[in-house]
Amino acid sequence: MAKLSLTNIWKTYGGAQAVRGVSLEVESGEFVSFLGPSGSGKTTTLSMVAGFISPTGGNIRIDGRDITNVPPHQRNIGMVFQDYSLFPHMNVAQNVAFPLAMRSVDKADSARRVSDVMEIVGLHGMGQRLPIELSGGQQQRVAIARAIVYQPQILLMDEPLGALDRLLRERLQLEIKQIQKRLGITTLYVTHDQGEALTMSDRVCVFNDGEIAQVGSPVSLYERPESRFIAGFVGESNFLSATVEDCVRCGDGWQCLLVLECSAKAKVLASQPFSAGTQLTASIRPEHIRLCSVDCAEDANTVFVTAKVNDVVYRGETSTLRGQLESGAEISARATVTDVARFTGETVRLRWPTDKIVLLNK
Amino acid sequence: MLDRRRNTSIKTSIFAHCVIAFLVVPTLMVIPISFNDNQYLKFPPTDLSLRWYEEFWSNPDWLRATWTSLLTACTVTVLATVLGTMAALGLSRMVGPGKKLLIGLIISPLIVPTVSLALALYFFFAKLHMVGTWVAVILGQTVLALPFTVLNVHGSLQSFPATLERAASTLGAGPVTTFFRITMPIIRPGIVAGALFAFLVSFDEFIIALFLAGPGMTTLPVQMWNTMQLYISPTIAAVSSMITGITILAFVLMTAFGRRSKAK
Repeated sequence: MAKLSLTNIWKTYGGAQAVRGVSLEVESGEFVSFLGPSGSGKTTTLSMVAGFISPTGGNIRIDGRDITNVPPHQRNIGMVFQDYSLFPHMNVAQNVAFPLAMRSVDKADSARRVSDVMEIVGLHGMGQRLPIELSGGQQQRVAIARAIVYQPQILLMDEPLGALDRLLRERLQLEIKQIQKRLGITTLYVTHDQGEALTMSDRVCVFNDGEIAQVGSPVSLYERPESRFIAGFVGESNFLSATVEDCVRCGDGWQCLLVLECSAKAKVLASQPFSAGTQLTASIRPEHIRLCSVDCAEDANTVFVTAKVNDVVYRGETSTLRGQLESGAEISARATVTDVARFTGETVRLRWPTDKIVLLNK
Repeated sequence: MLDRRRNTSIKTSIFAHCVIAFLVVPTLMVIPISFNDNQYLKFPPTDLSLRWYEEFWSNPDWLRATWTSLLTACTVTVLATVLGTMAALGLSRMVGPGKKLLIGLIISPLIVPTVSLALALYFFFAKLHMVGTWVAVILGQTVLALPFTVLNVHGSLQSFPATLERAASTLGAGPVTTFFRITMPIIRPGIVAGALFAFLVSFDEFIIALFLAGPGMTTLPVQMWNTMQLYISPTIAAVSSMITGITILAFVLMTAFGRRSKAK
């Protein structure tokens, strides 16, 4: 259990900037995910916390102790890799006991701690097996046991579930989260799976192009994205161009009247005033857009548009309608009723509540 | 169709067996000759006898040469294995064109004719006033043995996942501990194979030993050469048989070892 702080971390390779000025404070016991497309700098940043590569600039502290130039084996961190990285010539118990042996823990104490931790990861009694005799999921449990048995200050996980199938992945997501909570261990978790990041994290740190694009709780990232990148990367979003007509003071914030590109008007709350004529992007999640029958009631707090349905994708519990507005903009909407395939090729009315619109800079 | 294929396979098989026989039979011929009672090298043997083996084991010159060879080969093996393993570890971490150049340089003793190498070493050690010293022979043969250890260890490092060393480092193992506890046990088959080749290269080596060894440091191949200069004695056949036997034994052991570690 420890606090981790990254201050203005840079990493350049020749002329290429892999990580550009990353700063982040991770509280003791917090679970923070690094989410981002490949090449966004998330794994590079994790590797710098682990000590595999040293930053070009900036510093890394654990509980105030500067570890920027400390080699990995003196950092007291635990790490779980995507390929498990179990030692093939040692059995499961020897693998898990390895970090204890490195810390000169005596035999009896070590055996007890290994057995405790094997219980935690649900592999009790498997100590004598060799790693190759275990399934992928079991191997990853061993790797987790090995990374937590010595109670490291920070636990790093680099796409630990990347090689597993979906069902197993979902089960292990919950188990890892439970273990992490129970031990209260500060955790950094790298993933490119946004569902995984949203499910497991206290906070998600989204990387793009070597920088942190946004940090926040899963809810704030999903519901209050600060940029088009976040709105499109975390979940799906529709983007419509919007022009500000007028803003008036309203409570703590401002209420702005927008003209969307489909010529519909919408009153949207904003945290800052925009001058008339400002071009913005209105972002709406597909699940907030509903089909409405011809006679659905007009309402000041709802935006109505007409769209031509190009195709309908059936996804089990929901179906996705993909259509085009008169302005030519693509729009997708989620329908929870199952017989929507009949709308293909037809013109329908869509509606969404104005408070679900998120305003983004163009 | 089936018949033709069977014919082809029979012809191929006969041809392949002929090639193998051509490779092996001359070497094995010395074995029956060594048990011959006749004082000339003769095949087939007329009377069976162990006299040439007795001749070998009772002659202090042969015994001293054997001892010198063993001591030299063991020293070369240790040197080449340690240096070769370190070089291979370094090479496996290298990227870029420098790596290929370095591998080329390290294996160049395999390409350069040994006579040229021996001559070059002779002039080099002459400058250092080291010709005729045991150290010169050892270093010369190590140059010759190094490609085998480097290539074998480098080969087994190809399939060694680099993340294992990273994992060990996060778990608290320093670089030296990581090498002895993690890396070495996993690449051991490559190290053992390299060491065995190094031993055999040195044990068989003739030209460098001839050029660089001083009096009293005669190795077994050089002693054989010296003996043959005077007269062709069937003792040579006995020595050859024993060397061949040791070589075969070494490879059998290595194969058995490799199989065991694979089964593990």
